[in-house]
Amino acid sequence: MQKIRIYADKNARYAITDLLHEKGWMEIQDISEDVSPDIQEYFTKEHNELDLQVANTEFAIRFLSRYSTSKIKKRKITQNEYQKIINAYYYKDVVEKCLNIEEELVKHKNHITSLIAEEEALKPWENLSFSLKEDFKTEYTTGFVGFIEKMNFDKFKEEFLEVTDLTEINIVNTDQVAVYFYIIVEKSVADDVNLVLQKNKFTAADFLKRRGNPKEELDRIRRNEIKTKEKIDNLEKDAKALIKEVDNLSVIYDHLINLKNWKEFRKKFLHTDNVFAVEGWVPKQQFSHIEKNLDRITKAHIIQNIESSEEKPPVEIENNALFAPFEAVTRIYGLPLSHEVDPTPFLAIFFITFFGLCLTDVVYGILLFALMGGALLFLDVPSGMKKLVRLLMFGGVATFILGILFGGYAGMDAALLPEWLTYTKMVGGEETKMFIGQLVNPVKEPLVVLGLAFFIGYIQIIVGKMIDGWWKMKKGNFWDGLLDGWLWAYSLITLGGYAAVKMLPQLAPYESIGVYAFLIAIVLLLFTQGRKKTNIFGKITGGLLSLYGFIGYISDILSYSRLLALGLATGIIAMSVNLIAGIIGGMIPVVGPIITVLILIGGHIFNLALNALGSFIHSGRLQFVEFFGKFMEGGGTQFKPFKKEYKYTSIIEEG
Amino acid sequence: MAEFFLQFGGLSLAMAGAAVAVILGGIGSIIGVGVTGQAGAGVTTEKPDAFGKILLLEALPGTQGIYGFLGAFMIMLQLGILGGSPIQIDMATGWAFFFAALPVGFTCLFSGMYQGKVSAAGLNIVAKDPANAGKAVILSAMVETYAVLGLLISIFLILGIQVAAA
Repeated sequence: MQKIRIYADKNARYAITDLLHEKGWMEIQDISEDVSPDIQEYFTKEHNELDLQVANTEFAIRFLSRYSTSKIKKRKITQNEYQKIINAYYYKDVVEKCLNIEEELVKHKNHITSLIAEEEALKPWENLSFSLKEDFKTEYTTGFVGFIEKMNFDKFKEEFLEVTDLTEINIVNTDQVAVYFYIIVEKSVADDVNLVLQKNKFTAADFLKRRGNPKEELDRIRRNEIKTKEKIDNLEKDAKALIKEVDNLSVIYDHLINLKNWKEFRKKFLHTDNVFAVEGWVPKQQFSHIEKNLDRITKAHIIQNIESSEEKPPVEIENNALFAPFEAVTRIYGLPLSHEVDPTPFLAIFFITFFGLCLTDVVYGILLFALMGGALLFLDVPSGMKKLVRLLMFGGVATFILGILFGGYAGMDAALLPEWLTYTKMVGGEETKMFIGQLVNPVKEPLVVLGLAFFIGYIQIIVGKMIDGWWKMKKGNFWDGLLDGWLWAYSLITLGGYAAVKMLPQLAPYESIGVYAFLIAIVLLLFTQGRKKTNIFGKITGGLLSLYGFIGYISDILSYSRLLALGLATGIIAMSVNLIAGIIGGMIPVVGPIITVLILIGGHIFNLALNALGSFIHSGRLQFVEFFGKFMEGGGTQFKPFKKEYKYTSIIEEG
Repeated sequence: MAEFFLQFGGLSLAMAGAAVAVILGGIGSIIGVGVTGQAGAGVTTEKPDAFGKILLLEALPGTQGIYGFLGAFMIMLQLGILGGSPIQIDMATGWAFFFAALPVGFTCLFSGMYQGKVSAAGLNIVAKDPANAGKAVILSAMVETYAVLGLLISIFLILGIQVAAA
C-alpha cells in the first residue's frame, strides 16, 4: 500500500471520481478544508434526501417481497439494462404506492384488532335483551351491570341478600371464569350494594359507544369485521400486483447506494480555483493503471507519493484460487500488519491436514464434500461465505484421504466386513482386522497417532521460525532474521536430532553428531540472544533466559495432542451411534429397522456437524496460538477501497 | 467401609466411574450452555440476524457433555455392558476404571462452566459486530483445550486397563 495524492484539472474531477469508483483502487482520506455554512447546509440536505430515498426503496423491496412466494435472488443484469432502468424507471411512484398500501393496511389491521377486543367483551352479554345504553336510573332505582369472578360469586350473593332482599340478581351468562349479571336496586341501598360489589371484585361492563342491544351490536361488529377484512384483501391484492416491480426496485436501490457513496467521496476533495486534489491509499501494483487511465481523462494531472511513518497503512491479502479459501482462517484472527507476511499460504497445508486428522472418516469426508459442493452449486451462497464453504469442501477431501489411512468408515468395525475388504495386522501381539488401505488403527495404537500429531506440530513450529527468518532477511533485517528465525529453527531441528539419537538404537552410530549439533545450537543461543541488551550483565542473562524458550516450544508441541483426542472422539461417537441404533432398533418390533436407519442418519449428521465445528475451531487455534506467534503480530486494518457495491444485482457481460 | 465396597464388586465401581464422567461433563455443559443461552437470548432481541453466530457460541460449551459421554462410553465398551453380558471384574480393576474417569469428568465440569462464561462474554463481541464472531469463538475454544486434554488422558487410561473376569 502506498499513500498518494492526485492533483488534476478541476473540470476533470467527476470523470476521475467515476474512474476510481468503477475500478475500486483507492481508500480515500479526507483532506477537504472547512466549507462555508451554505455549502455545508446543501450537503446535509442532499445527504438526508438520498438517505430517505434509500430507506424508502429498501422498505418497498422488503414490503413487496413479503407478498412474494419466492426469495429475492441477486438479479443478473447487463450494464445497458441497468442504465436503462436508472434513466427511465419511475421508482418513486411505486415506492409511494407501497407506502400508501402499508399505511392503509396498518390502519385496517388496527381497526380489526379493536373490533375483536370489543367482540370479546360483548360476547358474554349476547343474551341480554335490552339496550346497553339504558342505565336503569329512574327516580327511585339505580342499576349495576358487570361480572364477578366465579369463585367470589357465592360469597357476593350471600352478602348481597343481607343488604337487600327486595330484588334479585339477573344472571345473563356464566362462563369458565366469571358470572355476568345485572341488578336493579333501590337508590337508598345503592351505596351499600356498591360496597359489597367492590369487596367481591366486581368489574362494571363498559360499552360506551354501543347503543343497541348486545345481539344487534355483535352483528354490527361482525359485519364491520368482514368489510374491513375485504379491504385488507384488496390492499394485499394491490401489493401482489406490484411484486413484479421488485426487480427494477432492486436496481434502483443499488444505484442509490452507489450514488450516495459517490457523493460522500467527492466531499473529501481539496479544492483551489482551478485544481482539485484527492488523497488515499492504493495498492502499489495499481500505480501504472492509475497513471494510464488518468492520462486518458486529462493530461493535466500530477501523482504525488506521500510518505508518512506515523500512519498504519491498510492491508489487503490476496491469494491464488487454491489458497484463497484459507483466507477465511486468517481473517478470523485478523490481518497481518502492513510490513508482515500474509500467513495464508503457509497455514493452508497444516490447517487442512489438522482438519482431516480431527475427523478422519471416509464417509464423513464424502458427505462434507458433497454438502458443501452442493451448497456452492445450487444455493445462493453469500459472497462473504463462499471462501469458508470452499474451505470446508477441501476439508472434506482431507478427511476422506486421512479416513482411508486411519480406517474411519462411519464407526464401522473392520472385523464385520467381508474378507476381501480387509487384511490382518498384528497390533500389540493381537491380530487386528484392518480396512484395505488402512495403516493405523487409532483406537488400538493411539500412541502412533499421538507421535504423528507431535511430529506435525514440531514441523509447523520449525516452519514458523523459518518464515520469521526468511521474512526478516527479505525486509533487510539480516541479523534479526538469522538470529531470531534461522538460529531457532536450527536449534529446534537439532533438539529433535538429539532426542532421536538418544532414543532410537538404530541411530546410535550418529550419537556424537546429534549431541554436538545441539550443543552448538545452545552455545550460539547463549551468545546471541542477549544481544539487544545494553550492558554485559543483561547480555548474559538474556542468553540464559532464551533457553527457557525451549520449554515454550515444547509446550506448544504438546498442544497438538488435541488432534488425536478430537480424531478419536469422532470415531468413537460414530461407533456409539451405530451401537445405539442397533440396540434400539432391535428392541422395537416390525418398524425396528426403520428406526435403526433414522438413528443412523440423524446420529451421523449430528456427529459430523459437531466434530466439523470442533475440528475447524481447534485447527484454527493451532494456527493462531502456536503458529502465528512465531513470525507475526497481526492487527492490520482491512483496506476498504471506494468502489461500486451491489446488494441486489450483479452486473454481467453483454451477450 | 471395605465391606461396603466389596459388597458391590468391581463392576459397580467401574459403572460409578462411567456415571461420574457423564454426570460431571453433563453438569459442566448444562451450566455453560445455560449461561450462554441466557445472554444469547438478550443479544437475539437486538440482533436477530446474528442468531446463527449466537447459537454457535452457545453450542461451544456443549462439547464437554459429549466428552463425558465419550469417556463413559469407552468404559462401557471395555466392560461389555452394551453387549448385554458385562464382565465381572475384581475390585482393583473397578477402582482403575473409576480413577480413569476422573480426568475427563473434572476437566469437563470446570471447563464447561468457564467456557460458558467466556462464550457469554464473547456475545458482546457479536452484539457489537457479528463479523468478529470468529474471534469470540477462538477465545472460548481456549478454555476447551483442558477438557480435550482430560479426555485424552481418560481415554489412554481406560484403554490401558486389562480387563479380565474376576
